[in-house]
Amino acid sequence: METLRLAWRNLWRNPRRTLLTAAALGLGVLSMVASTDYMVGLFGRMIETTANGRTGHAQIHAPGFRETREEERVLREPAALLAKARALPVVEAAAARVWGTALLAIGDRSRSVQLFGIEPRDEAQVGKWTTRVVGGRFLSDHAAKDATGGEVVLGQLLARRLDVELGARVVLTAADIGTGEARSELLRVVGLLRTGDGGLDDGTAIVRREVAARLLGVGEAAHEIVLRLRDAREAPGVGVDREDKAQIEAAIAPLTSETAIAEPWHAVQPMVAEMLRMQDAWMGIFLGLVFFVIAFVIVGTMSMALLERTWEFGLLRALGTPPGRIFGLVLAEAGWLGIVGGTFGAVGGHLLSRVLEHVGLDFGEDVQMIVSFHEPIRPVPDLPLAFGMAAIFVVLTILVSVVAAFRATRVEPGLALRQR
Amino acid sequence: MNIATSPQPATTAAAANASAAGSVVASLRGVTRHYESSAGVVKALDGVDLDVMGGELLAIAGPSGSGKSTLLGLLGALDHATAGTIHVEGRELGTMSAQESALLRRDRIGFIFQAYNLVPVLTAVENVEYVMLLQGRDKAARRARAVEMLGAVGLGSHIDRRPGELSGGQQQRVAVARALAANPAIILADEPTANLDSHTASDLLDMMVGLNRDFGTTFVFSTHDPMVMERATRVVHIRDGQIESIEVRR
Repeated sequence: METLRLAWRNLWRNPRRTLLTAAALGLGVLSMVASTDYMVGLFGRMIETTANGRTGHAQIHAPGFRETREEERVLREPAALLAKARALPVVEAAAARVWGTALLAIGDRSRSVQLFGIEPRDEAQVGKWTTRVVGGRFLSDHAAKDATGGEVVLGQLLARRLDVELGARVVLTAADIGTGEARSELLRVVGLLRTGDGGLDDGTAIVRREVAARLLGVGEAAHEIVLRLRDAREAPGVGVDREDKAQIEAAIAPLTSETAIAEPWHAVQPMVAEMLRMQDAWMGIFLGLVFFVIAFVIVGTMSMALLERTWEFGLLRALGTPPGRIFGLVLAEAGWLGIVGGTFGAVGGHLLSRVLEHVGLDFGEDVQMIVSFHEPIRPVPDLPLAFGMAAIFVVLTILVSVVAAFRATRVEPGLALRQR
Repeated sequence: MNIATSPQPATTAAAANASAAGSVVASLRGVTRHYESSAGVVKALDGVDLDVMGGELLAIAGPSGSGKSTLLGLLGALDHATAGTIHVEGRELGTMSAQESALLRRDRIGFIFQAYNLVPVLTAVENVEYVMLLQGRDKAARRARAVEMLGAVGLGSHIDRRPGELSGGQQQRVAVARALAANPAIILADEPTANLDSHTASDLLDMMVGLNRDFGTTFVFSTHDPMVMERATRVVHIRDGQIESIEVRR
């Protein structure tokens, strides 16, 4: 007959009202749990889409390259840096790239493009460019030139604009970074790429690294090294939370020197990082609004229940129940209400996330949030987090019931008993 | 003001009640209770002087609106007098804090209400245990006492029923058991038979007379039921907030 037991019984005196209130509260928790799981999945997908495109989880550049894109700012010894990077436990894969601007010409048509010189085998390890080919194939891995002098993969949109078809021969021309002399290569279009990244699809030519190095005259140098990092959830103790800038910075700090700067994707893609930050803020606002609405429901329900039971609080006071015990009784009832609704919401939200994780939310490539999504967004169910949110709701329910509880302690027993 | 709160065993309490027989348990001196209403000031009680003697079965009788329920509310520390002094076991109620009043009600005053007023979610035995729970008695002792009191009011086989599962008469018996269980110095019964049929009311009153006789418990009834007045040792007739007459019955 202790306070908690009495509170539990009181809760079920009006089962319909209790269930309705608990359902409203539970739906609030459910929406928060499902939304949070979805947002975690969305953020993860955004990060992975960014990483799988051209950014990776981190990049190494020569000082000043990222800010200026000056082609002469190169990493002089990329092989040594690659080896050093691959030796770090957190690094899953690393690939060097040569980057420059070039003129792509076919017949009397030409267009300025971003030139990426890559190692196909390494690139396949750090990103998913190799799987984004929508026509033809990706660059072959062997280094030998074919009869036409080399291969190139073009962005699908670029190819469409220049009316270039698979198998066509195109000329790439770039300026030697040392002499300024124009160098050209005749290449055969072996594949068309669609990444969903407008900049890439409309203005990119991808060639093997040695081809780009010849065009730009960089020799063995490279412009960037792209890193793929291990995820902490998949590799506990070794990996990092790939959303966490500070964690990544700390993990890749050994790769920074006077001649090379290692930076997380947040620095390379500040727009994506900013959007994620804004999404976090938006999520906070959403959660606050849900709290606010639910708080009104709880306050209304508790006030109604207390109003109906004024005589009963008068009775308890008449029997000598101290005000503190009545205060505790009302808060205990609120706590139980929160636990019932919160548990329903946490379990329901978790199950919903599980289903959506299995099914996936496929928005297609047409829906873009700075990046576009090639793969379905899958919520990341997190049961402890779900119950953590439910616990917050329980505390909130108790807090918003404090006024009602206080009012219950102020009931004048004589007056209250006359109301019955 | 410090109030003794330690619970007393049943036998000790009965002995204490017996020793209090004939002495003044509660007294009212010049007690006035005025209410403000839209029609002006209502004088519910107007200069009442009264002593309640230990072990008596006192009936406050009068028509509706005469002030008898107000008098009981003041005596039970449920309300505050506009003027005058009220003492229960020598302690003046007007100087008590809300907490002290609550403790006095818990330990020294038992209530029986017209509308039974049992806690709906508690079983009969839990309702009877409730005050003892507040007193801090251990579970086994309060359960044994509650079962004993329910047996004394003839509800030994209904201890696990909730109020909704009991008849009006049975609920009022539970209320009597609850009022008696904590060995109060005085039991205030506000028109306890008003909602009962005459047969049930008669049985209940006989039971309370028996308890008064056996335990020496002081009962104060507010009533306009002749059956109550027939069984009372003293009847105080009250009208328009003033004592009209006092009639000693036995």
